[in-house]
Amino acid sequence: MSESVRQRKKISASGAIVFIVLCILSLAYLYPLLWLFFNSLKTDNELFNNPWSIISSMQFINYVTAWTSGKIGISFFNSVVVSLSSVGITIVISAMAAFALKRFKWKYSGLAMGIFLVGIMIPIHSTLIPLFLVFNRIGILDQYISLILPYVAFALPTSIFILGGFMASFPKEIEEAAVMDGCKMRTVFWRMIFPLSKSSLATISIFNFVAAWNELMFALIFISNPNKMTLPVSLTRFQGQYSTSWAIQLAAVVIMVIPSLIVYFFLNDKIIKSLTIGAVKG
Amino acid sequence: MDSMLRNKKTIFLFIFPASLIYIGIVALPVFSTMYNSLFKWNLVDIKRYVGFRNFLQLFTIDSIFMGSLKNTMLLLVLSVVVQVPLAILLAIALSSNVKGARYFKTVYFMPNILASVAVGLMWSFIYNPDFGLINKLLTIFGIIDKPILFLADEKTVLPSIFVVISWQFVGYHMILYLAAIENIPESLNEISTIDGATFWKRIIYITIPLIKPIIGIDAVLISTGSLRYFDLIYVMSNGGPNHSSEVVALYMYYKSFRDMQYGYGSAVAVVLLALCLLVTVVLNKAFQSEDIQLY
Repeated sequence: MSESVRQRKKISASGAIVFIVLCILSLAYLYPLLWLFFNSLKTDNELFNNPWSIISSMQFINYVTAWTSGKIGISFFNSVVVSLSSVGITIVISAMAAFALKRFKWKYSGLAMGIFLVGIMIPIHSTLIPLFLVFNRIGILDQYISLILPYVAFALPTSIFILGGFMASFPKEIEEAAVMDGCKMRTVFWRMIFPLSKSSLATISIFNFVAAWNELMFALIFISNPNKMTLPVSLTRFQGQYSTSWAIQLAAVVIMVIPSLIVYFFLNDKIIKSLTIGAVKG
Repeated sequence: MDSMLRNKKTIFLFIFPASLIYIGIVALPVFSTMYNSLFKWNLVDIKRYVGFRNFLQLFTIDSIFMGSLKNTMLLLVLSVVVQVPLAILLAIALSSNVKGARYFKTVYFMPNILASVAVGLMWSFIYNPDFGLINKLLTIFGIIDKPILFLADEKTVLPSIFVVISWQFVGYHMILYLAAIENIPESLNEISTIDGATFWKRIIYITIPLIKPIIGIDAVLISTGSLRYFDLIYVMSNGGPNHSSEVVALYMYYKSFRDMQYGYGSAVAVVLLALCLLVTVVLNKAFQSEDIQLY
């Protein structure tokens, strides 16, 4: 112990340099966001002539324009609906599947798990054309369901994997005791397994929500009605629409990142863990 | 009891919803894409079987595709070669009791929760020749006298995009290594310190070998991630100028949904899928062969 303390003192000079480098790097992360925010409150004139200054004429109108005539408000609502629905459906059906795969005894459970896990490697690109054509034929393009279905489907592999691993650690007496009491398996699942899994359910909710909230490619292809667009698509549309007014575009980007940053500010530990756990365990 | 856990009907009911969605939205479309890749199929002509001719065309005549493949591979290799060492260095720095480690960790990871669309747009403002941060900075210090068109110049567009990719994702990889480094038993470091190992020797002979499995996992993540890049490039350069920042995913999108060449677009998608599987298998093999087990 004393040895490592001495070591620590010896490297304190280089420690100072490391600290300074880390500080500069953290500025490279925070300053662009601040710059974006301050400039989103300027007129285009102020932006072009003085992009450094913090002070501006406080053009909150940029936000109003982006939110209303830029349809960012509607998109915000659409994103909330799509992301929440996707997460809700994902946690229920992936928990059910993990329950069947890890708590029941059947010959092909390993194989079935394997088939789900292959999904982790599959890029969404290899499903786009058939899904687009089928969704077009059954008439669900431009509807929330055309995004919710793929978001759920591509969330399943990792979710089932994490939940399965967690459920496998429960003592098998859970089912035994419940069945002795005359419970049905459905009751065991809803009353025991599902509530007991809540820490893992929180994990998969977080990373699936982040993924759905930020997803662009499905949304870009399946949604062409501006009133049904999610935030990422809406933002790409902004580029052309307000190509003459930069400050409004900046404001739109701020509206997109602010909720994520606020949630991250309060839950950063939990979010970091949720977003990286699938990678390490996979 | 046992009979309840073997009840086929119950098992089926629990696994059915997930299976239905997974098969309908992932599995079947993948096979359908493979099948479609063997057809000449667009909005003008009738769908016609052409065997592997789409693939032949991709790899022999289609110079835009070959360019996109080259760019994708370049981004993949650059990402691994630059981001892995950088992430490991950051993780080592943050695990060495530096002041504010928690704050740095949180800040560096932050862009991972932001939409790539938003990050891409923000950086295209930063690169903007008229009001962008970087051009203004370079002008003030007199390094340049006319603005650099970072995203509109064939020579600078790909490096500019790569900077943004690294900015967004290096914090993610850092967290993976940080977790791995914190798992190294303190006793190993103490022994090596007593043995007189220097800081760098300790990293090369203890830290790196012990986190090697994570490097393997991370290399797979970076590679498959790089093959899928779409959002950032779509908003920053749209593959341009003159296809100089075209990548495979973007090209697949344009062939399929702008040119409506479903057969040809499917062939590009199949190449992408094959690359993802190939990279995963190859890298897994490479890193599994000599796992060091010291725990």
